Amino acid sequence: MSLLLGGLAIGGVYALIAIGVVLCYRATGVVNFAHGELMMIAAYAYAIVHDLTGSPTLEIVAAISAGAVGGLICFLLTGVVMRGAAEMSLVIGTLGVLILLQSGARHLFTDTPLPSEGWLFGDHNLTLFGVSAPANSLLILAALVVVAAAILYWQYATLFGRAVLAVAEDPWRASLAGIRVQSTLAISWLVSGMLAGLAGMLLGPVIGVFPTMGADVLFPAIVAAILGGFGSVAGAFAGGLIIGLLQTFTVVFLGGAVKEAVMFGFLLLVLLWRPSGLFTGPVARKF
Amino acid sequence: MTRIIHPVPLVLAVALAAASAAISLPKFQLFLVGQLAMVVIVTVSMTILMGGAGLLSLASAAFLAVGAYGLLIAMGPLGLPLLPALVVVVACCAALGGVLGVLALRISGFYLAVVTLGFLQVLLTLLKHGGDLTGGGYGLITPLLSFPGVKRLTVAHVSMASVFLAVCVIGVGVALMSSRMGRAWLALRDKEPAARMLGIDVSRMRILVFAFTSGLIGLAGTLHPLLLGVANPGSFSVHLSIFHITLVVVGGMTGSMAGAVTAPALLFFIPEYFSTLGEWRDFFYGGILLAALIFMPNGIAAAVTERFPRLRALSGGVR
Amino acid sequence: MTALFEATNLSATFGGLKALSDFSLSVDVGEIHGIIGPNGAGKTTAINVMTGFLPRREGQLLFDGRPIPPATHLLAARGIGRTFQSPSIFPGLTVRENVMTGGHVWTRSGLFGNALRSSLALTEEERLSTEAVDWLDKVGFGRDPDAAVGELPFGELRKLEIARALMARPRLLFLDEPTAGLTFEEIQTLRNLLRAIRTPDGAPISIVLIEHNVPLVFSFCDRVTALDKGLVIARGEPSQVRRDPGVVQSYLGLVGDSEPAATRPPRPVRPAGKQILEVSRLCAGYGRMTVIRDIDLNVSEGELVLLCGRNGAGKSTLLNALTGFPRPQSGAVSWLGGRMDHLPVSEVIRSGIGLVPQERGVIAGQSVDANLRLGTIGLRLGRRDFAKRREEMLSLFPALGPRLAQLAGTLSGGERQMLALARVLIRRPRLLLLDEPTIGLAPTIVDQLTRIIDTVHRDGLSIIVAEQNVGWVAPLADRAYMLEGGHIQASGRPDEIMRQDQLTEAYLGRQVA
Repeated sequence: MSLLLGGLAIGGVYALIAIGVVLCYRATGVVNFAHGELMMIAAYAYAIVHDLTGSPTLEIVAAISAGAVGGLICFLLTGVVMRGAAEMSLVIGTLGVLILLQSGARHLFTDTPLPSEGWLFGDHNLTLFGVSAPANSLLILAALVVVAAAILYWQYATLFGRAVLAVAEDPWRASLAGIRVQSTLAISWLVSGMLAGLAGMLLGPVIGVFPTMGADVLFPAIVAAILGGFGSVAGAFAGGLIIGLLQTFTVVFLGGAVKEAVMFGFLLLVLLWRPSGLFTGPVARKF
Repeated sequence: MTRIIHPVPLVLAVALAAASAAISLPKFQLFLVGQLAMVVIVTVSMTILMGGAGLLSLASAAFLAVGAYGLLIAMGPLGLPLLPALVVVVACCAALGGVLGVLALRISGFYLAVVTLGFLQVLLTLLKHGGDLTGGGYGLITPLLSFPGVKRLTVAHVSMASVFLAVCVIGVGVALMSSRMGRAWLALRDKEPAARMLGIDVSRMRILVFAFTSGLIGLAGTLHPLLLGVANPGSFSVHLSIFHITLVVVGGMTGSMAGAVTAPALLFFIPEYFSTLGEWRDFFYGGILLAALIFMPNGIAAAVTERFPRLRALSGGVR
Repeated sequence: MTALFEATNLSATFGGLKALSDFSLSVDVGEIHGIIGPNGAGKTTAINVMTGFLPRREGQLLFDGRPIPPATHLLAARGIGRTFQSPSIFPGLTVRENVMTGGHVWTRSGLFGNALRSSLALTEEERLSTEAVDWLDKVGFGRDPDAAVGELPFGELRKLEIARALMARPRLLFLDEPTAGLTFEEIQTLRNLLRAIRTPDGAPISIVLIEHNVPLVFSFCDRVTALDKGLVIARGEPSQVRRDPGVVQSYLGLVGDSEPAATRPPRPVRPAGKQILEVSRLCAGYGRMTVIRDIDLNVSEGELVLLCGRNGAGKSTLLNALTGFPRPQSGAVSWLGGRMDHLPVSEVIRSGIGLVPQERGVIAGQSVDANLRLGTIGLRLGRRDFAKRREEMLSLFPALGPRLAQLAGTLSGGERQMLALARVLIRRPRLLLLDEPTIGLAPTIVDQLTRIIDTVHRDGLSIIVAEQNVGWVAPLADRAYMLEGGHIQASGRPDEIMRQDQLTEAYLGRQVA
């Protein structure tokens, strides 16, 4: 039972990140390899503000703003400077941002993890269904649910959310309705960045704060997103949980060393069987 | 365009000349040149794969690793002499590359990049936990080697051999890209339906290019332990693959061999000169990657020939 | 003599819609065969099925009496070639190299042969190079063969693509709209070229030509197949097909000899309002293809202006360019006194112009209500204001009322068009652009649309309607422009421009003897 919960907790992390990546892709057409780095800079922002002020509000604001700024940089790169470039070039562009941010962090902060145990709920535990779990992990799951719900609401109930979907589906016809495509893209990137910021802040206490923290979790998250068909919040959600459970069970029954191999093998099998992922989202992928 | 024809003897002669010229370098420079030669081989291969056939692969570091470890394992526990071991390892890399190529048929674009990344991660995990066979986190050390006619294989020898090989590979690259094969790859990269309509078997060409370039990268990989004396997992990370991609981007994703040669030369030596750059090398590379993508989308070679049109005749044939 | 190429019973279905049914075609050696039909008739679908780009679920393809394999790349080896609607030139290769790829199918040297420059590779390379330049000469290509393809004018690109296709030594060549975007002179050159080309051993090459330029097809082809709505409606010699009433109707939308506006009493002439839209010397197209040239037109307040002309004449391009996508290549568009030709589409819309594009302007993945809501973006309407406007639209388009929650993609064709129109009208534009609003719709829906458009017009809305089937709109129009080959051919009152015989001649060319 605790195994299940553990798997779900990790899965929640991956799902959160996968949702961020998928959302970004759906809204902007770009797969942001640097998403993990946006999380990382948010975590560092939180850490710095934590040390400076110790005020929870300011810390949260710092993290989310850092993410937003990161998202904006990505927008400027892919949506303005490299607008219209080939897909491969845009992907490589995000790889470039990844390297810049990661190596920048490495040299500014070195590889030693920053102390993050005191963040958020610290090391309090909550007892749920007779099982005791770290509060921070549960916070992640809770945040996941809230975020997913909020995004779904945003997409389907607000005008702007619908505009984002419209732009993703058909930019020309969206513009024929008067939707300003570039501004919509910019805001989508901003929101994606903010989500990354939130994820970074939540992950800090759980996995530690160090320069490669983002990249480490990004790969499983991308695999999760691919499993989910890269189309919908629901798919990313499910994909994340599946990967989380897969990973936990692998570690327990087969040993930690092979967890990457198992994940990769699983991905390969799924893609060979269904090249578009396990679920198909409402928007056709461009791959 | 086919003016600059490179028949095999010419290339071999140039290669020998280059290798002999290399001897005259002081030991440390020779060592660097040997490493550069290795990188050039990889860049040429990746240029054919990415710039030629348009396939984004993050597995280049993986094939280097297979080459490096493969050679040591083939010569060690398997007891093969140097040359047969080389052949076996390169063949294995080509076969693995072929498998990736088959995968590339069903999985495209970005998903392929992720799958190649996964391949790299799995390989690294295998290497780190391969027990005695792979030396775990510390890797393997190259034993002292002898070669018929040479008492002991020194770094100098290997560097010269690297230069020789690099020139040969450049020759092969130029020959291929300016031939029917190169044209077919460039065609299927840009306009697949039209390529099919002209009789180009797109699937077969994709598998071929993956197998061939992976074999070449494996060959470069075998030079790694010979030059550096060790093979450990830390040297073959995702960052290395991204570095290779950077080299191709800077050189020009057009399949141009001129770019494939100048990019490593530039990017390899600049940090050596700016030694203060040392720690910030990664950052520097990231910046170069972005700058190249934004300002020189066709790479250095193209940017140069735009400024100096007379050079076009030189590089136009050397695709 | 058995036909060189025979297709029988080919079909294709897209998402429930049968785009092609029971298509058959037979081409003899040396024959030039034309395929015509209005937009959406299935011409490109037919070619795609025949050349393996669409799966072949039923039917048969025979070449030289033997069945054709489904894989596209095997077709070239058999002797079948094809060009594409927009020239698929390989940008990474020079002109000569592009043509040389045509020789891929009859050369043998492999990876190692080429890497090591074997003698086979070298000889083949030499042959490819000389033959490429030969073909470039034959098609009349006028530039340096070692130039990059990036700066070539459009006409040369078309020639290049044909040279490349011919290099593969086809015995049958499919040409998909080869004259689109070419000037009159270039079209003549192409005609002469196609008549004269032969395979290296002197045999004539069979050609299947898909074209919107119907007069060209009739004057040039040995036989013609006419398609409409996925079915073959006529086949035979050009003079036969041109006389066929079904063909005339598919293009003009007129049945029998009903006369449009001409013989009906003219509408009461309204005093012309002030000019709100002025277009001068507009040129626009896609990529480097220029579709419309030197367009001058204007619209005054309250007018309904008809833009007529056959397919491919440039009507859609003109309307799309007016709204900013594709961005005009040159010329000026003035709206309400201000220049508009460099504004992004969303700004054009927000300044009071609405466009209902040809393939329905709805966002398929969202509900009817959401589409209407999206139409008001930027207007900052409160809940109540929006509800009021929505009510207005629903009274105009009652069919939408019960379907507010339905996904736009699941609506029928007619309902979608209603929604597209409602989405634009909810914004209360001052000028409405309609691109072939009745295409693919049943006559009853066309009647409904006619009434609605008449109503909004009488209420003072200025409208430009681009239509090929002018029957329904001619009585409503105040003025008309006739577009042909990307130019305005005639302008004036509808009855001046649109006598049936004139229209038929414009669309289908002079009667062939």
